[in-house]
This record gives sequence, C-alpha cells and structure tokens, in this order.
Amino acid sequence: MPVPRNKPLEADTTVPARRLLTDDVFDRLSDEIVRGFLAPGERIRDQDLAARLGLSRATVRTAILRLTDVGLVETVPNLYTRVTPIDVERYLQTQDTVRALHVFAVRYGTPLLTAEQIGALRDWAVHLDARDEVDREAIFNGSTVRNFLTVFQEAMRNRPLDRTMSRLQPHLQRVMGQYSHLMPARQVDAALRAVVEAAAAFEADAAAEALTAFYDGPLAVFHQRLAEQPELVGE
Amino acid sequence: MTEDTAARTLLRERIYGQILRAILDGTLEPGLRLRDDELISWLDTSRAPIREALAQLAELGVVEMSPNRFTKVAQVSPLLYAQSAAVWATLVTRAMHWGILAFPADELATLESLNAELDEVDPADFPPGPTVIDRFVGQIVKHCSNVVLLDSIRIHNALLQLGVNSYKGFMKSEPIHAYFTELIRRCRDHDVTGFEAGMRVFLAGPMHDFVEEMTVYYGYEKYEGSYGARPAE
Repeated sequence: MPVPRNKPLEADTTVPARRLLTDDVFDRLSDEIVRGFLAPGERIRDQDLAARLGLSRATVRTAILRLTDVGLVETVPNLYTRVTPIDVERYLQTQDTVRALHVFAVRYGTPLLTAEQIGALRDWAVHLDARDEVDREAIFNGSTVRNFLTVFQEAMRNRPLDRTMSRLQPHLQRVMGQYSHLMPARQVDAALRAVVEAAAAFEADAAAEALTAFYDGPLAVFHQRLAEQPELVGE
Repeated sequence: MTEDTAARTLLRERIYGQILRAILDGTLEPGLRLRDDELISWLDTSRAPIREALAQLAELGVVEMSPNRFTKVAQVSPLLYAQSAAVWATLVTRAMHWGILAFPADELATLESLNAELDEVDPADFPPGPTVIDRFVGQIVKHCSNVVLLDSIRIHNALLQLGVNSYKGFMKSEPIHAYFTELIRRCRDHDVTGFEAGMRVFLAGPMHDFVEEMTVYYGYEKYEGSYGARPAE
C-alpha cells in the first residue's frame, strides 16, 4: 500500500522554540521517579494525571511511552502502568553502555573544546575538592552531567550521540542518586579532576584513559557496594 | 507476558524499519508531516507502536518532533550518517569486546567462511539487506549479554545498513578482510588485550576514509567529530 500523498507538503510555520507539553510531563514524572518520590510498583494512571495536570490524555500518554522507553515505568498491556523496580542488572548494563559512549565523547570531544568550554570545565572541577560525600542533588537535577559530560558532547555536535545518551541517563541518575552515599567521594573527585586536567591540556588520549580509570576505580567500588545492599539482591 | 513483549518488539522493529526505509529512499520527503492517522492506515496497525517507532526514529535524528505533537521528516545527510556510524561503532566495539570473551569455538568456522566471502565480493556489488560485513560483526556481537547495549545498537543499525547500501561504492574490502582475520584470532583466544585501541586504529583508517570520501563527495564539510581527526590549527 503506497503512502498517502494526496495532501500537499505543508511548510512548517509553527516553529517557536517552545517545549512540548509532553516534555514537561516527562521531566516531571522522570524527576519524581529518579528521586524515589514515586516508589517502585506505584501505579501511573494516565486519566488521573491528565485531569490533575489539566492536559489531554494523549499528551500524558506520549510522556508515559517515553518513560517506558527509558525504563522508568513498565506497562502490563491492558492492565496498568507502574514504576519499575530498581533493577541492578539493568543499571549495570546501562552504565556499561554509557561508559563506552562517555569515553568516546571525551576522546574525540577534547581536541574540539573551545577556551570557553575549558574554562567552564575548570570552574566545575574546583568544587571537586576531596569532599566527604558526592553531591546527591547535582546527580538528581542533572547538573553533574551538564557541567561535565555534556561539555564534551557539545564540542562534538553529534546529535545521535546526544539522543542516545539522554535516553540512558535517567536510569543512571536514579540509582547513582539514590545510592550516592555508597560512592567513594574522594576517589571520585580525584578521578574526575584528572579527566578535566588532561582535557584542559588537549591531551585527548590521557583524558580518555583518566575517565576509564574512573570507571575501573571508584565506580567499580560503588558497584561492589551496591551489590552488597540487601534490598537490591535478587529479583 | 514475555511472549507478548517479544511480539510487540517485533512489531515495533517492523514499523520502525518500514518508516525509516520510506524516509531514506525519499518516499517520505524531508519536511513532510507524519500524521498518525495516515501512518495507521499505511502500516495497518494501532497508534501505540507507531508512536514508539517514531520516538526511536527521533532518537536517530531522521524525524523531528515539534510543538503540538507534529512530527516531521528531518533531512538525512551523509553527515547524519557519519555521526550515527560513529556512535554505532563505539557501541559495537563494546559489544564485540564482550562477544570475543564469550565466543564459542564451534562458531569460528562461520567467521572464517564469512571472511572468505568478503574476500571474493566487491562491496559495490553487495546485494541489498545485511551485508557480509554486518553478518560477520553480528556473529560476534550476538554473544554479548548486555541487552541495553544491544538495544542501543539496534536503533542505529537500520540507518547504517541502508547507508552502506547507498554509499558502498566508496568502500574497500581488503583492509576490512585483513582486520577480520585478526578478529577471528581474538575470538579463538578470547583475547581483548589492545582490542579497543586496535579498533580505533581501524576506524581512524579505512572507516574514516570511507566516511570522509562520502561526505566530501556529497559536498559537505569534512566531518571532524567522528574518528578523532583533529581540526587544522
């Protein structure tokens, strides 16, 4: 069956740089699940949400569909939609995927960094000063990613990379934020500072190696501790 | 429920593939609005799987979601292809890492015969569909157990396959054949020492040349972001 093409191609005249309502719903629900305000197993009812937010059911559904895609909610067809349990295996697989992309972004983004971007990275790294605990709020609100990882991605200007990353991030934020107290903060700070220092010197391979050391060092410690959490053991 | 999930995944893949193919072969032109109703009657399915497929196509960058829930076809350029290829290669490198470590000895012969096939065929004569290169890589990648990683690869796969079919005239098989010979050894020995670095060299060489020839040919600026070419000082 051919694609219907009887209608003339319409020029898109409505291109104001405004966000979609469904994006707002997505961000809001995503934030509540990531922070644990909406607990695993909690039901999400599109009808109730639409009424509460004064939006159409279709708008809410599109947002819920995206939440399903990023793994924060799951749908039992024709029954209900609920918040997913924290699945450590899925988290580790997501982290393994992001690790590959993250090292890629740092290696190939470093030579493309502008003076301004290097300045911003350095300003951010100043706060990585042997803290006793990592900044949980910065993980939840995404500023850690924005101030660090996103800078390299912006230098690369690779949109498929940005989109794949943003689909994977919420799941990481949820686990890393809710269990941030298990991270070896001083080691995390030292490892991330090393990445910034190498990047600021345009040492792309050294920056990528420093980031690999972050994953193999402090983050591996975090994952070990995560595996020892009784509530996360088993399905 | 597992069966149900599998059926839905298949349906989504089919719809994703059909829309993508129509975009890449020009049936659906850049700028064209994609209306749910029209897609529903064309693809003969319900709204939910179509929205799911569109979300994945948006991640790839071949459709754009704009305000008021309008979805339209984006411009697919060699640049987008090059960028997607770079992401794909990064993810596949990781998946191959796990695949090499778990590779079963009784499948080495399959790799050997695929590599022999590659040696005989000119890429310009590759028939449509997954190429012998795709099949070789797929044979290793299928032994990777990270499903999140495989899912992310799948999103980029379809564009890549269609891209290779459009631009395969620029591809040279000798360096790929030589590199695959090395990969077969790694699979036999479960050896990933230096694999990532070796893969980068391969990507910066034959793969980069391929992408560069393609983008320059189509009148685009040289793409600097993909495989580490440093911009001129």
